Amino acid sequence: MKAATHTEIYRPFKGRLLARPMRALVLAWSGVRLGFRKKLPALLLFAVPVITTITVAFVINLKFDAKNMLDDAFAQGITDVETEGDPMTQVRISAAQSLARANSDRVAMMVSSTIADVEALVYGFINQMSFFVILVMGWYGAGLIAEDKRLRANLLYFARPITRWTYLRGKLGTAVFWGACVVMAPTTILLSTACFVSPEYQFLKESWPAILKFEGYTLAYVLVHALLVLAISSLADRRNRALAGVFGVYLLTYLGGESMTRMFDGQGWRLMSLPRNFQRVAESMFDLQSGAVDWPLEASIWMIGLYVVVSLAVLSTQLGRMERGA
Amino acid sequence: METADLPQPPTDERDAAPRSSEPVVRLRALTKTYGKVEALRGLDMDVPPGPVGLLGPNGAGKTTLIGLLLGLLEPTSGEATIAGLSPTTRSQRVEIRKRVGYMPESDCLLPLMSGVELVSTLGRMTGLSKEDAMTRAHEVLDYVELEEARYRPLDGYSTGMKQRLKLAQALVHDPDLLLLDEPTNGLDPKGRREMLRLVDDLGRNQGKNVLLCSHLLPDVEKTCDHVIVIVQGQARLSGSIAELTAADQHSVRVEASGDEELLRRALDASDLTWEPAPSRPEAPGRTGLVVTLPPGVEDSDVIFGAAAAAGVVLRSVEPQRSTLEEVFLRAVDGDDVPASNNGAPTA
Repeated sequence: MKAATHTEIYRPFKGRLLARPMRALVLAWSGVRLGFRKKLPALLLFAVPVITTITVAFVINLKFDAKNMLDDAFAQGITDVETEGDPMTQVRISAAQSLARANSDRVAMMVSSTIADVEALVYGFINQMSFFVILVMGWYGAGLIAEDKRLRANLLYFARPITRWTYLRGKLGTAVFWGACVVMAPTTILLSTACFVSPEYQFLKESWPAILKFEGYTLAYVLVHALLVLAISSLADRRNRALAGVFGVYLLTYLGGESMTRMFDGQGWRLMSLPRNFQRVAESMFDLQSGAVDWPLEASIWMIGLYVVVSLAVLSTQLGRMERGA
Repeated sequence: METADLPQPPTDERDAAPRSSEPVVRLRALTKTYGKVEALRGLDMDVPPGPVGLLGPNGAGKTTLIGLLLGLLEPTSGEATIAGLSPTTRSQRVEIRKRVGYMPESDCLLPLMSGVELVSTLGRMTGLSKEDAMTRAHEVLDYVELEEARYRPLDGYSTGMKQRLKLAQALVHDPDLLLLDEPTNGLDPKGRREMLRLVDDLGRNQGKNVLLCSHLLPDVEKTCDHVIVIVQGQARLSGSIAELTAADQHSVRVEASGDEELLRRALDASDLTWEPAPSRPEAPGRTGLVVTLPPGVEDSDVIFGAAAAAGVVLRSVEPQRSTLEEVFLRAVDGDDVPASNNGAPTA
C-alpha cells in the first residue's frame, strides 16, 4: 500500500551515453539469463553431457595415472638400487640404468600412445556430443527470434540504436553460449584435464596443435549450427513451430541422406546432412577414417558454406523485415 | 547522476529547460513508397515542441511515419529532420534512435523477464552504462508507479502495468522526443486516467516533446497542445487544438428554458438558419439549437429579438465551439478547416 503523500517525479538523466556500448553482448546475456529461468529443461538437457564429461575426465586421468605409476616404478627401482649399499652396487646401478635406457623408448611410445588415446577419446566425446548440441541449441535457440516476432519485441529492440546485424550478433551469442556449454566447455575441460594430469604437461607440449584443432572445430560446429537454428527461428512466428522446423530440417536431411544412400548406393546423398559434413571435416582434421563419409573434403566445405550463406540470406531478409517493424 | 535516495524538489519547482520554438520534426515533400504503394505522398509537416497529437484513419501512413521518425525506414524522397538529425545514412538513422523514445502499441514484452530487468537491458542497449541503466530503470519505474512490481515477472503484469512499463522503457535514456503509440489502449478508466496524467506531466511539466498517436480524440484533447491529422499519406491538418476548436463567430448555441418549438418558429420567422445542437457530455439531458448568424451580423441581438417576440426565455446564448472530433472528421472528409498552420501547409 502506497502512502497518499508519496509523489513520483521524473528525474532527468544527467549522465552520458557510452561511445561504444557492447549492445550485442547485452542482448546475448539477456537471452542467456532468460534461458536459465527454467530449471527443468536445463537439468534434462545437460545431465548427459555433464555426466559424460566427468566420466571421460576420469578416464583421461586414469590413463595418465597408469603411465605415471610406470615412470615412478622405474625411478623407484633406480633409487632402491642406489641405497642398498651392496658390494655389487655399481654393477646393479649400471644394470638398472641400462634397463631404464632400454625402456625409455618403450616409455616414450607409451606416452605417445596415451596421448593418441586421449585425443581419440576427446574426438569420440565431441562426436557423441554433436547430437546434444543440436538438441540444446534447438531447444534454447528456436525461440530466440520466433518469440520476438510473436510478441513483437522487435519493436522494442529496433527502437534502440542497433542494426539488424547487432541484433543477429546478440542472438547468435545466446545460441552459441548454449551450444558451447554442451561441447566447447566440456572439450576445454577434458583437454585441460589431459594437460594437467599428463607428466610435465606433455599433452600440452606435444598436442597443442590438436588442442587448437579441437577448439576450432567445436567453435565452427556450434557457430554454423547456431546460424541454421536462428535462420529457421526467424522464419517461424512462434517457438514451437521453430522447434519443429529445427528438428524437422535435421531429421529430414539426415534420414533423407541415409535412405537415399541405401537406396541408390552412393554416399553423396549424405552431403545433405550438416552433421555428416562436419564429420567429414573432422575426419580430415584428426586423421580418422570411419568409411561413412568417403567423399572429397572440398565437397563438405562447399556444403557447409552453402548452409552458412543460405542461413545468412534468410536472416538478413527476415531481420530486415523485423527492423522495419513488420 | 542522481540517485534514487536523494531528495528531489517538487516537479513544478524543477523547471524544465526552456523549450525551443524550433520544430522537433521537420518533413518536406517526404515520400515513402513500398513497390507501387505510396504510404507517404509528399508529406509536409512540422511537429512543434511540446505535446502533439497525431491522428489519422487506418492506412493513413501513421505507422510508416513512426518508422521514419525512429530512423527505421529510409525515405524514398524528400527531406526530413528528426531531433536535429537527418536520416540520410544508416549511421544517422541509428543515431536518431538515441534521441527518440518509443512506446509501441502492441504488448511486445518478454514474459520471463522482470520489469527492472527489461528496462535496464533496453537502457544498456541504448548506450547507458550498467550502473546508469540500473539506476535509471529504478527511477523511471518509480515515476510510472511500478516500484512495487519491478521484480515481478512480466507475465504477472496487468494491462495497465504493461502499458506503464512500456512508457518506462521509452523514458529510460531520457530522450528528446517520445513517440507514444496508443498509450491508453486496453486500459480501464482508472488506468487510462493514470496514463494520461503521466503523458500530460511529461509533455507539459517535464519539457518532453511528445508525439501521441491515438484514435481516442479525448485523450489527445486532454494531453496535447497541437494536433496533426494525416490522411492518405498527407498532412491534412496541423494546428493548435485551442485554435482549431476556437469559437465560430457566426454560430451561436442557444438554449430555451421554455418550449423550444416556439423558439424554432421564431427563428424561422426571422430568417435565421438553425440546426439541433449536439448534446454536451457534461449535460447530456439538455438540448439546444445552433443558430447561424447572417453575413454582416456580428452579435446575437437578432436572436434575443426573435426570442422576445415569441415570448421565449433564453437559458443560455454562447458562441458555438467545435469539438476535436468535428475538426478531425472535417479534415478526414476533406472539408475546409479553419486552422493555423505553424508553417506547415494544410490541405
